[in-house]
Formats: sequence, C-alpha cells, structure tokens
Amino acid sequence: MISVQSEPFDAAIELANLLREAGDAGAAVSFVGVVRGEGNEDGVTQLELQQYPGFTQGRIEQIASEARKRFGLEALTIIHRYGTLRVGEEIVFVAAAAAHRRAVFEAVDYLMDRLKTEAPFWKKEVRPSGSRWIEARESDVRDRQRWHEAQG
Amino acid sequence: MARILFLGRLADSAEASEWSVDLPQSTMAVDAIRALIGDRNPYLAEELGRATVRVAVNGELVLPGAVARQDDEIAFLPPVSGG
Repeated sequence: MISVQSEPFDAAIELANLLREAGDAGAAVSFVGVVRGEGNEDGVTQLELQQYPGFTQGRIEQIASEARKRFGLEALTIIHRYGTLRVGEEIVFVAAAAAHRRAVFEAVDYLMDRLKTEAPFWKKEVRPSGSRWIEARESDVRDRQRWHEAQG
Repeated sequence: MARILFLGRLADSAEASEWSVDLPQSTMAVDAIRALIGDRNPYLAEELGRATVRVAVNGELVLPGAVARQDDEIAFLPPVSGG
C-alpha cells in the first residue's frame, strides 16, 4: 500500500495491517521517520513538504515496485506525509514483509535511501531566522549509491 | 488555457505556484513555452534554463523536444529535496 497524504498515520495499526496482508511471511520490519529539531536557538521549527499530486505517488509506486522485485517482498507499505510538519511529527512509514529477515532489513534500508534522494518532494525548513528550500544531503546521495554497487 | 506549475523554489521566482497561460499556438514545443515564460520574468528565465530543472506534461516527465497543447498542464520541477 502506497499513500502520499497530509494526515498523520498510526504506525502500530499500519504494521498490524501489513502483517495481516503478508499471510505466512516469516519476517517484517518497519521504519518511522520523524521531523528532527536541532536544539539550538535558530533550529528548525517546522518543515513544509510540497508534493506534485499524482506524480509524487507514481514515482514512489515505481520505487516500491523495484523493491518488491529486488527483495522478493510479500507485502510492502509506504506512507509519506506532505504539508506543514512540526519537529517531532512523524513524516514517513516504511514496512516490508518477506519470508526471511535479511530481505526485509535490506528492503527497508534500500527504500529509505531511495526515498531520501528521489522522492518528489520539495522541502522548506522554517527557522526563527527565516525559511529556506533544501536539497538531499551528500550523505543521503552516497547511501543511495551503495545500492548500485551492491547490485554489481 | 495551459496550466503552468512551478514546484519548489521556482514558485518564489514565479511569484505564484501556478500560472494560466494562453499559448500563442495550439501546439508548442516545451522549450518555446519556457522561452515565453522567461520573456515575462527574467529571474525565471535563468532558473528554468538550468539542466537540473525537469519538465512534466500532464504528470509525465518529458524529454527535451517534447510538445504541449493548449489545455495541458506543464510543470517545472527543480531538483527534489527527497523524502
């Protein structure tokens, strides 16, 4: 299930739904991403995430389809929020189920690296001093690239 | 009318996230539409000209040389921030 939505999600309910959907899969992993604050005076107070309706969903579905094939997943849920999110709010939920644990650990890691660099969102960090558009970090880009190398 | 969408930081230069534009021809090359927008707004001209800005017509990414029609939705996408 892939959803791009402004509403909050309940990670526990979503994981339970995935497990039900996955039937006799032996392993499941879930990940939640949260808006980070930076703790200092001019830290981020909120994030504005913009999506392109339809396009963003489509691209994430494509990434999900590639993960399903690459890791042999039985079930996969990705929920990504957009809109104005405050520090501490949950932004993204990724959960996967498969026969064995190696595949699900790697699938969720892979999906987060792809989402962090390729998901079509445009983010603005809002701070007391003003707001600014941000791009994927170099460390995220390097993390994404390691999956190219792993595939050989 | 064609709907021109400016995603992300492009909306700052465009001073709006969306323009409605009457295209001078019923079918136009996307590059020509880009030039038309640039004529109206020199800040945008520079930003839209960057190789890192991608174009989608009716929600599908297009290659250079693509065309769009009068009732199409043409979106200019700067590099994504990621999720």
